[in-house]
Amino acid sequence: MKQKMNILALTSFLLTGLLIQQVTAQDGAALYKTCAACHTIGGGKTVGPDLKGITKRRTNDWLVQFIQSSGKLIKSGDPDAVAVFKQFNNIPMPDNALTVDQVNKILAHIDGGAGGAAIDPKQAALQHKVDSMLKTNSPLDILAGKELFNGERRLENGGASCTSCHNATYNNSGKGGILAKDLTKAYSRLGGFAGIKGIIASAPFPSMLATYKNHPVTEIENAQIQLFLKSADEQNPAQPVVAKTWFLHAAMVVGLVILLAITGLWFRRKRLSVNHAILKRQEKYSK
Amino acid sequence: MDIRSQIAMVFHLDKCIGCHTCSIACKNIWTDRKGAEYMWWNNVETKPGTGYPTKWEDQKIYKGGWVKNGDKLELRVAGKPTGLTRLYHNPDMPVMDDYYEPWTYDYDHLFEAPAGSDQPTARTISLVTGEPIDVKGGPNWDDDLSGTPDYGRNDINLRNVGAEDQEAMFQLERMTMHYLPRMCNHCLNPACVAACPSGAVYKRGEDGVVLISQEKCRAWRLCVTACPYKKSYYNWSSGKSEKCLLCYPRLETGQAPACMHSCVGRIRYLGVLLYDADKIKEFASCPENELIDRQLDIYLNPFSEKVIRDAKKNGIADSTIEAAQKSPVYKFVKEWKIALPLHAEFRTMPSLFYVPPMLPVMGKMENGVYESTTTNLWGKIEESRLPLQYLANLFSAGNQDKIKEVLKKLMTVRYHRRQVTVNDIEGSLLDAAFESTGLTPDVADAIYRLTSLVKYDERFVIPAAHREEAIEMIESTDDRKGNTGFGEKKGTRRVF
Repeated sequence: MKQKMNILALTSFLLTGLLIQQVTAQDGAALYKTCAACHTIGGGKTVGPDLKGITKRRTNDWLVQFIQSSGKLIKSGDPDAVAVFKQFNNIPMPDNALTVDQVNKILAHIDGGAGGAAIDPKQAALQHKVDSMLKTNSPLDILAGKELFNGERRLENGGASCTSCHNATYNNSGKGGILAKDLTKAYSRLGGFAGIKGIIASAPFPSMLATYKNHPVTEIENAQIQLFLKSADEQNPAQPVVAKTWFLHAAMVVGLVILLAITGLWFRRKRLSVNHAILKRQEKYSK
Repeated sequence: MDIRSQIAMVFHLDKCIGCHTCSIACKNIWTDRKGAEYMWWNNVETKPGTGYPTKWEDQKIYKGGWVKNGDKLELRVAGKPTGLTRLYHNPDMPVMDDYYEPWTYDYDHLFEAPAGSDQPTARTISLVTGEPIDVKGGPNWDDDLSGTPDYGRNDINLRNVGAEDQEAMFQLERMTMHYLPRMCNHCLNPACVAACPSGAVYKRGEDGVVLISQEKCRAWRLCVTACPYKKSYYNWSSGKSEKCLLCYPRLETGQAPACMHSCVGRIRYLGVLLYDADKIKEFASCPENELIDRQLDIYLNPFSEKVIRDAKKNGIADSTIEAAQKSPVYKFVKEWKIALPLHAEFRTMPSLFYVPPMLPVMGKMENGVYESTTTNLWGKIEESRLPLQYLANLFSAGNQDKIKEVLKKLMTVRYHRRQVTVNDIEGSLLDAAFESTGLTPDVADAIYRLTSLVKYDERFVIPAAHREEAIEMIESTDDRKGNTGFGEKKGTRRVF
């Protein structure tokens, strides 16, 4: 009996160990999804730097600090952090609420490399289709992207259209929201397709993340929006055109005129009857 | 010199008993029509009081009359730019509540009521909507000082009258009042004529009567706002403005206007004044304290050879000059200077003059007894029951000296007549009175005569209208004679 118990204990110990090991690998990959918005592993730099071999270039301690709050590190004046920040167009890396343990898991995943995972044939076919779409750069896809961006066509999973918060000036017309950043020049700012794709797929910004958490943008839609933003970027050589200022000023002037007119009419309104007070008093006492 | 003739009037306020007969005579003839019920071309107001429409004298509210702007004279309501903006929206237009909602009674209900245990009543019915209404006010709601807290105390002529004097005016034991009959003044510088955008209001050349052409009137109603006396009324039914026409059909046939003819107290006088039209602009825009004197200056002496010559040159008929020489108005206004225009500060140069009321103190309460036998028959002018400033605000643009002068003359006439009939006035008092006023016993007798004794023909000296001359200008008098009196006013329209 005692022997039986020992075997059982051993087996469960081994199984648990195996399980834990598996969970660790999966955790790292899952957590890395957020990073993939701006980073690649061996795929070249996009919004942020290529992370291949990052653990060898920086100390673990520095990495943990930077990933948890890059802003804090830059503010503290760390020369490496400031250099990276400047190199990547002063785009700050958002803070991540990750424990040291979780950061280490991500770093382990990066070290493990992109390879190793089994390739899903369905996923591969989709990837191939997306790649060819981006390569073809067809006007139809750009149009589709524009419609998706502007909300003229619904996103497949019902997510909010980009224009709710963003503006992208296209054909000298931009009527998008001003809550979030203007995306007219997003293509060049984010360093091409990969940057846009990453941010759409898993946004590093809290409000955008929450918006698309239950309504993910499909890969095809993502590609179409990328094409649209590229086209918008090419159309507008300078920084985002805020073509609306003249309208704003005109609206201000018109508004002022209307306000003055109303004020003028108010002061020139018909006066009360001279007998008003007398009649009022009579009414009061006749009741 | 551009001599013209003006029919002018004098109302002797000491003789007015406030019976409203004049108003009724006018209403019966002219304004007893739909849309005209609320019009009182002639009305009688109690002063102190706010008149009709309420507070009409307050031009801060109604924006009537002229205002002096530097050397220029401008209408308060309608300079060229302001008039244009007011054409379609005139916030200073009097509204119905400023007048009153005219009403009648449901007499049928009274007459046709079946026998019953209750007394049937005739309800008040609005003449505007035809619905039963509760009457809230009328054209003389403050008659005989009724509703004094609402009306009398709000009289704008109380301005510059000391608080103590004002309080005294409304003490029950000292309360006093006089009547002020009002009608269109047929001004020499009429604001209504100047304000009319369609040129419908005009001043008749031959006698200066101001009229509104019912054909040209386009209901802009600027005359209603512009007239500082609020004597132009808008007929809501016909869509035209109307005003007193001085009964010109009666004048042209030699009769006095209905209000004057019917006057019980015989307070009204009518006659011709000759004036120099070239001087209107200069005199109407003179400083306020000179207004009364300047207006008197504009009237010319009809006995002067030069005036007669110039008048004839200007086409004024001999009969008119003769009427001007006999004019009772000329005597009151120019010779004796005892009649003053109402609110000269409106700068319209009204042709209606008032002999101000004397209102002397006749007695006083002493130890609970009303004592009327005093050493002096009448109290001093300065101690009149109405403060002099109040009368001055009404009749002499606020100038107390002017009104005092007039009242002293009136008092002198009374002293003189008392002396003649009763012989109990001290000689020194009478002499002093004559000396200070510049009157002579003869003049005093003449004033007395014109005030108290004269008959119809002397109160109303109406010049011949010479309609034949007016007709001659348009057609042959023979044709006219042969074509009037019978037939259709409008020809039959034939289709084929």
